[in-house]
Order: sequence, then structure tokens, then C-alpha cells
Amino acid sequence: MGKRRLARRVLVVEDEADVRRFACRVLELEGYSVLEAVDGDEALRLAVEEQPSLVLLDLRLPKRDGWSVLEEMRRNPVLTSIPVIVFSASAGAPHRQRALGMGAVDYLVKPLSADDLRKAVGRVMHRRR
Amino acid sequence: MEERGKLKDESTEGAVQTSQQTAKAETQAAERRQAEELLRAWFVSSPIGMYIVQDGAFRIVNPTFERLLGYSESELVGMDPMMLVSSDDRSMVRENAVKMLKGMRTSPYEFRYVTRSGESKWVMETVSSIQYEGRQAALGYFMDITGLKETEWALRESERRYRLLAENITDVIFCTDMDLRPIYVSPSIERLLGYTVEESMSRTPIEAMTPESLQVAVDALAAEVAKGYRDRDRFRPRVRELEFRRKDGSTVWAEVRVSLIRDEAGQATEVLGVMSDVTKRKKMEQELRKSEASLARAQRVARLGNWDWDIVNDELRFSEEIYRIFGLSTRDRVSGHDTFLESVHPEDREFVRKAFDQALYERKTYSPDYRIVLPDGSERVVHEQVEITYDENGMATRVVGTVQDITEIRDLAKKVIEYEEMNKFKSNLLSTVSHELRTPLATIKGYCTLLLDYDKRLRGGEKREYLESIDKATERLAELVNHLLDMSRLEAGLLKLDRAPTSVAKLVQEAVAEAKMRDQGHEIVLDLQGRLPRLNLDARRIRQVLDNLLDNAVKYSEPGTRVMVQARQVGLELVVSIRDSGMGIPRDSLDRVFDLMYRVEQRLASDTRGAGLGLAICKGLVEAHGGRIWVESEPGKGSTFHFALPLERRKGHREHGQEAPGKKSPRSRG
Repeated sequence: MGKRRLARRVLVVEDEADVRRFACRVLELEGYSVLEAVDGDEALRLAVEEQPSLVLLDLRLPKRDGWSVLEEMRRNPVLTSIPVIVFSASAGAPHRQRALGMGAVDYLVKPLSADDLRKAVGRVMHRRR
Repeated sequence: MEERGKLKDESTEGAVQTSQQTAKAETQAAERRQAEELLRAWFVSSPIGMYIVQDGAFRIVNPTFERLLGYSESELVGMDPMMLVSSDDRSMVRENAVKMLKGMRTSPYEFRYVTRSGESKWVMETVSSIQYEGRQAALGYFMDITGLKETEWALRESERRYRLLAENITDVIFCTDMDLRPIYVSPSIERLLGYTVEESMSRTPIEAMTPESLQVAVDALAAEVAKGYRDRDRFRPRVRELEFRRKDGSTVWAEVRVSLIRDEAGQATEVLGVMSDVTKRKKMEQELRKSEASLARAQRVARLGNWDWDIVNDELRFSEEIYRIFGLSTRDRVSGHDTFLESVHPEDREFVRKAFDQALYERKTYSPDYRIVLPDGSERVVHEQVEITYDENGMATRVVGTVQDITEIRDLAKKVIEYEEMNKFKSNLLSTVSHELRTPLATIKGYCTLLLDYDKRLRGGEKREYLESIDKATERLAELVNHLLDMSRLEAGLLKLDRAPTSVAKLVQEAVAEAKMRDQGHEIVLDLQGRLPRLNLDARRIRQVLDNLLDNAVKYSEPGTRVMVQARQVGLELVVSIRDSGMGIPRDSLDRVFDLMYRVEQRLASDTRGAGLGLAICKGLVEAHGGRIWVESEPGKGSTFHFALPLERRKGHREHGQEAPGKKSPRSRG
């Protein structure tokens, strides 16, 4: 593992504890360092402060919902270069299109498997190299 | 006479003859004298003017003549009679005089004398030839007919005027006998009916009328005839609208006014009348009536009525539909705006009155919806709008308003809203349930794939944790699925209760014991009062209710606080109460607590178990047992949930297998 790889941080935004734990563990095992946020406000704050290489965003969040976080990430010049992968329980094409249209780089459907997660993150990180 | 006897005695016959002649002569003389005296007497005293003219001049005139013409006899004697005759009539008088002198018969003729004062006097005169003093003379006598003449003149003039009137006005004037045969018909009959005067004279009006009108006319005439001579309104003409057929076949409507001409005995002799063409008016009336009916119908269909308030004269008028909307009969008097306010629902009255006053005086728009109460007590909702007219001083002079009964529309609107809310609710429910299901699935999938893919690299301890989480998630999933199934069954009335005689006390004890095990943070106290009977119930389901309520009590109150569970018999019911000292439930949510998807706003942690179905299911289960469930709560202090089960077996609704209350079905147990 090169230093550069270790430096890659992923921000996981998810309010469900088990899902969050699972995602974080998989990312850890894949060699990423992980940041966690349980709601949208916390997510944006951390994103600004820590400037992660990738944000994993659940669209269904309490208080400020995932869509508005996505919008803010694209709008805010400080955050706009950070890629966002969204996940949602909805498999519908309109949702997917909307998310991608709003600037998400990928759209995953829950329930996530370890493989889905690893592959999606890998694709984004690979591109950034 | 004696002397005559002394003469020559030539012949006694001559003497006898002379005496005979003398006697005859004497008789004749006497007769003549008598006649003269008679004549003279009559001449003097006659009321008829008399005169004798001889040789072209008056010889004698009688006093009446003097009086009538203003001349004395002495002035007239020797005058040429023609001087007294009005110059216009002289030639006629001369003609007659000539005729008379020739011995021809003359009838009385009329002419004018000019009196001494210059007045013209009409006379009717006769002249005859007589012998006067041995010679031919003319005897004339005449009557003053000036008065008569004037009357005749006035009459003719009047007739001329009336004829002119009759012939020139458009109304038809007619006169018939009592059999309705025409005596006179004015020329405008041609304009009205197309028949000329001549044609009209030979047919009775009867022939021109339509059968319905004929009946009307006959009745009216009979009534008129029957009017007494002393009848107060006998001079008032009777008016009817009658329909006539014109010569060309088309029909006209005429307003006919008749009066009867009566003789001195009061018997009707003639019918006098006037007819005016009112076809146009009649048509307009028909159109108006049709459009009024149409409007009334439209108002009826739209349930829209209108009213008109003339403020200046304080006159309030309503359309028929208003009465119908307010459930009043048109005979009910509605004197003013205040009376109408009485129909407004007491709770809305102030609002309506204020709104109306504001509209009137502050010119605010007025279009309120409010409730009205009908005389039979039923409530309707109406929508009202007004238009106010102001005079130049800014004072309201007239208000025109429409009122529409929108009760059904409101109900419909409410139903639509309810329907939409139900749809929204259902889609919310669906999305919530969907989320609730996916969350444990996500946990299971995630951890399973984590374990499978990274088995060798994971620590033992964490592997165990993941497996436990998977287990818990599976439980959660199972619970949710069961809840959903229960709810479906309850809704469909398919829930089957497995009843058996059960000790409620024991059931409660077990539930409390397990709750204590699950949660050590709270003090759970059990209070069983007296001897609690055994009830025929589905222990699993009642246990489910107990577990749910205990769960909530613990979940929604702070650790360290007490949860009190009480079971006691109250009357014919067994009541179980679970009290917590938690956050309580807001007053306005109290009746919604048992609805599907009800959830207290603040949630503890992110525990979203149950999707809000819990209490709804409890309610369903309790009611399936024939019981009831309710809650008391004080925000900030805590809540107490109660449910009561009947002691004797009572059929609950939503319990499957029951045909009707009171009937035992072969399939039900216990």
C-alpha cells in the first residue's frame, strides 16, 4: 500500500448505524481512511473541513435530506470537485437520472453488497489516479 | 129688416127670396164673423209666430212674432218680409213663396230670421195662401227651433268628432246588439283582423275568436249583463284578453273592454267596446314568463338564488330559489336582512353580520361561506356574493346578492380532499413500510457480503457482532412482516383469534417479567388488584398488545422513571392500564394515536421499529376481542394506556368467522 493510497479518504454519510458500519468496514479493508457523518449538515461540514477524495451519500437522511446535500456539494465551489456516489432504496430510473443529472458520479441501490461498494469506489478512485 | 118689407110688392117671391137670401147672408156673415173672431183669438194668443203678408209687405203680425223677432207690429207693417230673412236663406224662402203662390203644396221649411238685435233665429215655417180683405195674401206661421237647431248642430258636431276619433285611432271601436251582431265597427278593424268594415259588419265577433277566447268572452258578457242596475261598478268596463283569427289565418291577441248600454229600465240593449292589439305585448309577456321560468329552473339546478335589497325604500325581494335554499315557503315573510340572519348558524352569525357590514360600509369584498339552519333543523352550507350600488355621497343604495347552496359541493370537495389525503397517506405508508423493510435487509446484505468477502481478514469478535446484527435484523424484518400481515388481516376482517380460557393475571405477569429482562433501565411495577377472572381470549394476541404497550412505555420515557402496570376488574370489564412518566402525547393528537402511521414527532435515537403500526394493531386486536382501548396523557407528565376486555364473551368486529353478533358459528372455538 503506497502512501498515496492511504491518503485517500472517503466520507460516509448514512444515518442507519449498521449500514454505516458495514460501509466503513469494507472501505477500511480496502485501504481507505474513513470519515463518518450521520446527517446532512455534519456531512457538509466535514466535507469542507476534510476535503475527502470521495463522498458516499445516502439520499434518505434525517433533517436535511440527501438531495439537498448533493445539490450543495455541486454548488459550493469548495466542494464541487469532490465526487459523490449516492445510494438509495429506490431502483427507479427517474431517481437515478435525477441523481446523475445533479452531478453524482454513480448511483447504487440498497441493499448494498460489499462487492457493489468496493467496485463503485474503485471506479471513482481509479479515475482520479 | 122691417123696412125692406115696404118696397114694391113686385113679387112676394122676390120678397121671400130676399128674406131667404138675407137670412143666408146673415148666417154667412155671422159665420164669417165667428171665424174671424176665432182666427183673431188664435192669432193673438198663439205660441207660434204668425203673420199675414200681402202685396209684398207685412199686414199683420201676432205678438209672438213681435216677441221672437224683437219688432213691434207697427214697425213691421209695410215692411218687406225678405228684409227679416237671413241673406243666406233668402233664395230658398223666395222659392217656397213662389210655389205657394202658384198653388203648389209646400212643406214646412227651415230658415233663419234676423232679429232686431241682429241675432239669427232658426225657424220652421209654413205659408199658405189665403184671402184677406178680399184679396190674395199669404198666411205664415213658424216655430222657433233655434234651441233645437243648436242641439242638432252640437249633436252632429259631436258625432263628427267621435267618428273622426273612431276612424283614426288604431284601436277598434265597436258596438253590437245583445246577440253580438255588429251595429258599428270602426275602420281599424281592418288593421287588426284583416277584414274590411263591410266584411266585419256581416259577421259576428264570435266567428273570429278562438274557442278558448270565445268561452272567456261569453262568460264575461254574461257576468256583465247580470250586473245589477244599481251595481256600484256597473260603469266600469270589463276587460279581457281575447285571441282572434285574422283573415289570413294568423292569430292576434286583443285587449277587449266592453260596457253595456242600458235603457231606462236597466235592461242591456247594446254592447259597446274597444279592442287594442296586444299581440306584441302578449308575446313579450310569454317570452318574459318563459325566461323567468328558465331562470328559475337554472337557479333551481344551480341551487343559486338571488335577492335584491332596495335600501332606500327598504324593500327586500327574493327569487323563489332563495326560499327553497333556506327551506322557507314563499308565504313566510322575510322582512329584512336581520330576519335572514336568523337562519344563519348561531356560530357563524357574528362573522356573517360583520362581513356584511364591512362590505356595506368599508367596501370590503364580501363572498363568505357560512352555515345556515333550516326550519327542520338540518344544516346546509351556502356561498354568498353581493354587488353594492352607491349614490354620489358614497351611501349604499342597493344590494344585489346571490346565494348558492354548496353543501353537496363542499361534501364532494371534502371527499376529494379525503381521497387525496388517503392516497397521500397510502403512498406515505407504502414508502415508510418500504423503508422499514429495506433497512434490516440492508443490514443483512451488507454484513453477509462483508463476512463472505473478507472472512479471513476479519477479527473474531467483530464477526460475531456482525452475525448478531444480522440476527437482530432478521427478527426486525420478521416482526415487521408480521405486523403488516396482522394489519392486513384486521382490515380485511380475516384475523382469526385463537381463544382459550386464560388467566389474565398470569399473562400480565409474564409480559412484565420479560419487559424487565429486556430493559433494565426502568422500574416496572405490577399492580394486580383482587381476584382477576379467567377470560376466553387469544393469549398470544393479548400478549402482543401488552408487549407493545410496555415497549412504548419504556421507549418514550427516560431511564430511571417508573412504568406502572395495573390490572383490575371494573364492572363487566377487565381493565389493564400501563402508565409511564414520559414525554406524553399532545392533546390534539390524542384521538389519532391509534391511527395507522401515527408516530410521536420526536423519536428516540433512530429507532424506527414498527413503522407506526403498533398501536393500530393493538387497537385492532383489542377490538377483535370485543374490547376497547384508549389513552390518557399529559404532555411532559406521561401517558396511561388502557385497554378493557369484556368479562363475558362478546363478539368483536374484525374477528373472523363470526356471521353476525349473537350467532355462534360452528367454526369458532370456545
